[in-house]
Amino acid sequence: MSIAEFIAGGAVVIAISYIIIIYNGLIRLKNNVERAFANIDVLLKQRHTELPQLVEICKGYMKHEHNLLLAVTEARSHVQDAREGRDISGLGHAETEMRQSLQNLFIKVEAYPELKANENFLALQERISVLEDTIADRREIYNESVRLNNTRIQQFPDMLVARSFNFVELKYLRFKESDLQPVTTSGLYD
Amino acid sequence: MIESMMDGIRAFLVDLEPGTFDLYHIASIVLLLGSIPFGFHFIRHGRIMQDTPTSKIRSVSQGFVELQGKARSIGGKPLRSPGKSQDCVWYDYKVEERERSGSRDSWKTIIEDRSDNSFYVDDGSGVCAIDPNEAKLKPKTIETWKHDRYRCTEFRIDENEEIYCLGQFETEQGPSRDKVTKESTQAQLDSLKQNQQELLRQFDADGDGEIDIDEWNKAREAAKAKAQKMVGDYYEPTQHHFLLKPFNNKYPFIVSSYGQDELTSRYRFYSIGSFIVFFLSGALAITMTLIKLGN
Repeated sequence: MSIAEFIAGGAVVIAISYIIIIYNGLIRLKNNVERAFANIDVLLKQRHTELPQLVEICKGYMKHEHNLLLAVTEARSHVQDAREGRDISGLGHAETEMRQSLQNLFIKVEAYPELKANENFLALQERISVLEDTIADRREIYNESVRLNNTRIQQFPDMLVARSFNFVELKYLRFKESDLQPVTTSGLYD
Repeated sequence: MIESMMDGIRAFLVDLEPGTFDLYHIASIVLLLGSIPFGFHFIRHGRIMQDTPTSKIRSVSQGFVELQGKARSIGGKPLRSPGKSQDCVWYDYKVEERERSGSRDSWKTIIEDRSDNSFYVDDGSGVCAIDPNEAKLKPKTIETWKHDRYRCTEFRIDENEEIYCLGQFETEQGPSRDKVTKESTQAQLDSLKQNQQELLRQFDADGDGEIDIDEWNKAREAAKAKAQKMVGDYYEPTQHHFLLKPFNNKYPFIVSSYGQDELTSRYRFYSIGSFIVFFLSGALAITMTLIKLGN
């Protein structure tokens, strides 16, 4: 083997190995996005189970707030539909609706001192607020994973491998800016 | 120009002693075979760093993660580095002595001290403990100084220094409220059983000097209510987070005072260096093999 042949052969080996690394990297990025979504999904399911209990407790005290409670129940169902259909844009809208309806409910609760003093309600409110904060954090990670995936797919030479193997850009999970506020009533009356 | 350079190298190799020639030959083959895996290792790890999103400790899920925050000592008591007496969370210190062999100076390590205490990374949302023993540590602070025929070198990660970490995130849950309530209830009942007088005083409603099943149930309920109140008022379930070596060996466990961008540029530089070594050592190995075969 001459030195020229070695250099040509070496370059081919390095190029093929680099393509394999790029391909595996794109798979890893896609899996990161899947994992980030699964981490949000598990919290959405948890909240889905907690919300009926919250609505049930509120019903006992808030006899004249039927529309508020209905809004929470409807938002819950919209989130569930979007989740199950893996509809990222729909989930963003449904989450915005959910956060707004919960925020409205918790504001209204201030007018019901007996409900505010109910220990089960307080525990549920606390759990749901914590879940909302964690969902917001994990949404950031999800969007960051999507950004990293989409950036790689647009970069050279990754774009060549991405196009050859049908790696596509993924959608961001967007909430309205105003809905990024934590779902609590603390601070509202300061 | 390249041809005349190659001729010069060839002439140099031909003139070598047979033993030295074989040594160079083996070294070139080892470099040839070793440089390629190194090159790809750095490319792969650099890409993993770039492709892993930064998580917040309070909401991170279990698995391979990237964290960024300040290095903090556990219990708020920083270590004191042995060389420069600085507050730090980790150090690696060594003292070498100069030895003269013939006309050359060499350094022999006489003291080595590497801290193995765990420390926290604190990103403002929570803290996560890091065991430095299995991690690749890349400290920014490296100080070297000489004293007579001794040379001291200290690597350090200082208290409150910004660190970048990659590894397997695991959480250990403390006992739940239910478990603590049950344990506390049982402890109160055990204590009452030991103190019959107190048991009768509190729960012998009919005053017959004995505790019947209804009275015992009342005692049980009272103990449970007291435990629930105590747990509700004072107990917070604890969680301890750890950053460990990833289960999958292809993923790195890195703790670095250098940020992600600095590390990835470095890894890119190392991978290019490895490929240059691959081509140079390959060319050398082929030339030497041809000389050996008499071509």
